[in-house]
Amino acid sequence: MTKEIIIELDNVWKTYKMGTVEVHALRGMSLKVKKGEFLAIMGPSGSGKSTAMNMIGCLDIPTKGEIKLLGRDISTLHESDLAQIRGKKIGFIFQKFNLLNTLTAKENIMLPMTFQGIPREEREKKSEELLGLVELKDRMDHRPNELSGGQQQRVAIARSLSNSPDVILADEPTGNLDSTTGERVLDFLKKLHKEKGTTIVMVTHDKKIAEQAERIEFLKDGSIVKNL
Amino acid sequence: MIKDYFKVAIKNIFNRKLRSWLTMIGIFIGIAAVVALISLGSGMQKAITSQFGKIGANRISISPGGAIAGPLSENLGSGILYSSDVEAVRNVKGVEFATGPIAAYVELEFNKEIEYVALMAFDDDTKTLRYMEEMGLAEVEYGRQIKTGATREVILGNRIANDLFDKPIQVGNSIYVDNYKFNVVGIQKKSDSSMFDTVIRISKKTAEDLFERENPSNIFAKVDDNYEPTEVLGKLEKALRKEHNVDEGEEDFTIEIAADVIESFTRILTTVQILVISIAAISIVVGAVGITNTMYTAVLERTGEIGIMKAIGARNSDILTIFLIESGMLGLVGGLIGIFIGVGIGKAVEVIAKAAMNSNILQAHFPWYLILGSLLFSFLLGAIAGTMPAKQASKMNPIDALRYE
Amino acid sequence: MFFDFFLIACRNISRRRLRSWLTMVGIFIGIAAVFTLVSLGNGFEKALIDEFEKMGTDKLFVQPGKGFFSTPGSLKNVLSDYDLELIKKVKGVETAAGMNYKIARIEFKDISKYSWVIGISTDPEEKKLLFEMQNFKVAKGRELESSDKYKILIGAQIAKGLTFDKEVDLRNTIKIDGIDFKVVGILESMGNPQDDQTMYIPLKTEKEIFGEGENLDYIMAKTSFNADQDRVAADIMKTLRREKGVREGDENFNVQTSAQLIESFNTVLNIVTVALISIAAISIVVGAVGITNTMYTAVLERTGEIGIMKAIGAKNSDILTIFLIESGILGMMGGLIGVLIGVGIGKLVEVIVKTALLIDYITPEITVGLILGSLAFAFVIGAVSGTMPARQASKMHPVNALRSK
Repeated sequence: MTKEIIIELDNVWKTYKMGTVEVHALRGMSLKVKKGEFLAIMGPSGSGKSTAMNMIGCLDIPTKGEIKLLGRDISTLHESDLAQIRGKKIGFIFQKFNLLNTLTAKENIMLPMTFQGIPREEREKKSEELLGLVELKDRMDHRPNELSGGQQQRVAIARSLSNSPDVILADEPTGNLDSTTGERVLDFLKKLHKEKGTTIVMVTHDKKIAEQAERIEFLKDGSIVKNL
Repeated sequence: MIKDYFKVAIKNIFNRKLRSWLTMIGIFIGIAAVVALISLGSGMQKAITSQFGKIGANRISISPGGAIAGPLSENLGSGILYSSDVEAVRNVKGVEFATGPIAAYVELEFNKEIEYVALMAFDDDTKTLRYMEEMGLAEVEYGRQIKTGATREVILGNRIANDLFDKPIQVGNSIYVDNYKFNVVGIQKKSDSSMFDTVIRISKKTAEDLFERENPSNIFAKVDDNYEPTEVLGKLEKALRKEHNVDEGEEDFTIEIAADVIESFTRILTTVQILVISIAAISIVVGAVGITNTMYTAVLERTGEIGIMKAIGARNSDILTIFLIESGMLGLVGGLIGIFIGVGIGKAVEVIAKAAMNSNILQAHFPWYLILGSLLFSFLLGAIAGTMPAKQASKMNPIDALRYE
Repeated sequence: MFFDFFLIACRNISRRRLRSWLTMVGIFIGIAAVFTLVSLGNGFEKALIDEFEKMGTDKLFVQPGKGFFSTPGSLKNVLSDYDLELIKKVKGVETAAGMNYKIARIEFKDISKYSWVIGISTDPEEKKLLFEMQNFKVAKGRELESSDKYKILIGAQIAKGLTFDKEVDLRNTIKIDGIDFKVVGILESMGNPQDDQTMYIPLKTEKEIFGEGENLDYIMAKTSFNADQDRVAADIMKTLRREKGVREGDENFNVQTSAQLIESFNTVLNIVTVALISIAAISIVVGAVGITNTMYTAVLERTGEIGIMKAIGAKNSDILTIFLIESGILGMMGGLIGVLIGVGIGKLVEVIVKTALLIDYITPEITVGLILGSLAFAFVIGAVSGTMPARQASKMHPVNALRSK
C-alpha cells in the first residue's frame, strides 16, 4: 500500500508588501508529506522556512498556489475553519515553547482540547497520560516559569499531541536549548515517530539536527532545491 | 528644561494614542458634567438675584402671622394686617414709602371659560406705580397702566393673557373678575418669574369697593437711603407691636428685609447645587483613577526607557517631573475638551428650557474663573492622579530597570 | 468550556493585580452611587405607598383648587359644611369628614411659635375616618370627644420638646392665638417633623376662633365596599358642580382617588430619582471607559498569547469569549464591591436622616432583585466595554500575533 499523502504544497507563493516593495517569501514551493514520515525542512535564515511552516500549519494562506491537507484545499478556507483544522489535525512545537504563563503545565496541555469542546474529565485524563509520556507527571501543577527550558519544551510536545493530530510541526524545536537538552527533546520526537508512527515535519537551520530525520528537503530563496 | 519635559510628555501621550484618548474621555465626561451643572446653577442664581435685586436691599416686606408656608398663603396665617398698619409704617422715621396691596384668589371668566387666579390690588397713585416699576412688577407690554381713579380697569399678567384661556386675551377685551365686568387696559411684559406672569392687577380702591376687602395681604416698604435698613426694621417692629398691642416675642406679623429673603433663597439653591454637583463629581474621581491606571501601565511599559534615562544621568526628580507632567497633560487636555462639551451642554439646556418651559430662569453662565478654574483643576487632578505611578518610576533602581525585558 | 475560559480570565485579572484593582475602583464607585440612590428612592417610594395603604385604598380626597400640589388651607371658602353633607349622600360614599388647616401663634410656657393647627371633626364616625386615614394613634391620653371645646391633641415631637424646647405633657396648657387649650392626648410618631409637630383641635373650635364660618379646607371620603372609586369620584364632582352651578372644566375643586394620589407622588419622586441617577450614572460610563482602556492594554500585552492560542486551535469566537469574560468579571467584581459600599452608604444615610432630620421615610430598600440586577448590570457593562478590545483581539492574524512576541 502506497503511503497516503497528508500535506501537499503545489507551487505555493507568498508575497508580503513592505511599504511599496513586494517581498516574495515563497516562490513556487512544492512539497509532499506522507503519512508516518519524519521530514526535516532545512534552510538558512531568510530562506522562507518560517513562512513555509506557517503555510503547512494552516496559520496563513498562500498568495498563489494550492495547499492540500488530507486531500482538501485549505487555501480558500475561512479563519474559523482554519482554526478547527489547526486544532484537530496539527500539533505545533515552537522554538520559544510558547506556553501560556498563567496556566500550569497540565492546563497548558488541556487548552487545545478545550478549544475542541472535549469534556473536562477526558481532557484531564488525556493530559495526565501525555505528561507521563514526556516524563513530567510530577511537574503537572507547575507554571512554565517554574520549569527549565527542556521541561517547557516537553510540555509543549505533550500539548502538540493532545488532540491526536495527523501531523506535528516543529519549528526549530531545539533552538533555545543547550545541546544535551536539545538531544533529549529530539529523542522524544524520534520515539514518537518510531513507536506511534506520528508524522513529523521539522524546520531547522542546523544540519546535525536535520540529519536525525528520515528525509531532508532543502529550502532556498523560497523554493525547494536539491541541496544547499 | 521644563519645556523639554513637556515635549517628552506630549510625545509619549501621542505614542499610545488610543489609550490616551480613552483616559482623557474619562476626565472630560466628568468635567463636562460639572461645568454644565455649575454654569446652569450659577446662571440660575444670577437670574434670581437680579430678580430680587430689582427689589433692592432697602426694601422691607411685612407679612401677617408666621409666614412659615411661603408666599401666597395669606389665608393660612391666623394673623391679620390692618389698613391702619400701613399708616403706622409710613409714620416710622426712615421709611420713605409704604404700600399695602390686597391679594386674593379670584374667579376669572373670559369667553365663557372660568379659571382661578391670584389678584393683586395696589394703590393707583404714581408713587406706588413707580415703586412697582422699580421692582419690575409693573412693566406693561401692550396698552397702558391703570388710570388714577379708574374703577373697572384690569391689567393681566403675560401668561394669563396668552396661555391660560383657549383664546388669548387682548387689550380692550372684557373679562369678569368674581362676576364683575372689567376692561383689560394693559398686558404686562413677560417677567423672569412665572409668579408675576400669573397675577392680575386692579386698583386697590376697586378691590375695597367691589370685594369688600380692606386689609392688606402684605406691606411693602422702602427705607430712605440715609437710614440703615436694620435700624428702621427695629423701629418698625416696635411701631407694629404697639399697633397690634402685643409684647415682644408675641408678634403676629413677620418683617423681612429683601436681602434676607435673597439669602435664604440662595442658600436653598446652593444646597441643591452642591448635592447635584457632588454626585456629578464622582465621575471625575473615577476619571482620575483612570489616569492613575494609565500611568501605572505607562511606567511598566517604559521601565527599560526609565533605566536608560537614569543610566545617562537623569535624577529621580527628573523622572518624577516627566511622569507628573505627562499625567497632568492628560488631565489638562481632558479638562479642555470637557469644558468645550460642558459649555455646549449648558447652552443646549438653556435653549431647550427656554423653548419648553417658556422661562428664562435656566441660563448657562460661564464666568472666566469657572473656565480657568476647571482647567487648573483638571491639570492638578491629572498630576495628583499620576503621583503614585510617577513616584514608583522615579524610585526604580537603574540596573533593574535596564535589565527589564 | 465556559468554565475554563472563566478560569483563564480570572488568572489574567489576578496577574495584573494593581491595574485590575484600579479598573474595578472605577466601576464600583459608580455602582455604589447608583445603587445607593436607587435603594433610597425605592425605599422612599415604598414608605409612601405603605403610608397610603395604611390609609386604605378606598379613600377619596376632595380639595379646593385645580391640581394636587397646593398648600393645604390656602384656598378658603371653596368647600363648605354643606358640601360635606352632599358628599355623604353620594351613592357609594360610606362616610366623609372635613378638616381645616391654619398657621397660628402657639404659646407654651412663655415660648411662642408659629405652627400648623388642624381642626378635626369630633363627630364619632367622622373622627374614626380621619384617624384611619391620617394614621393617628393616641399614644397617651385620649382622643378628642364631641363635648371637648378647648382641648388639644399634640404630635409626638411636640410632646418630646422639639417644638418648644420643653416637654409637653397631658393636662398642660397651650395657648393658640391667646386662647388656653388643655392637652388631652399625645399622638404616636408618624415619622416626619411636619406631622409630628402639628396640633389638633376640635373643628368647631377651630372655626370659631379663626372665624372660618362654613369653610372646610379638605374633605375625605370612604367609599363603600366594592364601589368603583373612579365612578364615585366622578359623581362627587358632578354633585358639587351642580350645587355650585359651574360647568365641567371650570371647577375650583378636585377629587382624587388614593390611586391617583399615589401616582402623582410617584411621578414627582421618579423625576427626581431619575435625574439624580442619571447624573450618578455618568461615573459608571467613565468607569466603563476605564475598562475599555484596561482591556486594550491587556490585548496589546497578550498579543503573543493570542497568537499561541490561535495556533493551537482557538477560533476567533474563543478569543472573543475569553476577553469578554475577562472584562465582564472586571465589571462584576467592581459591581460586587459597589453593591457592598452602596448598602453601607444607604444605611448611613438612613441613620443620619433619622437622627438629624427626624424623618423615618428614608430607608434604603435593598432587595435581592436590586442586588442581582446591579451585579448583572455591572457584568454587562464590563462585557460591553470590553467588546471593542475583544474584537480587536479576536481578529488578529495568528502569524502577526505570534511574531509580536
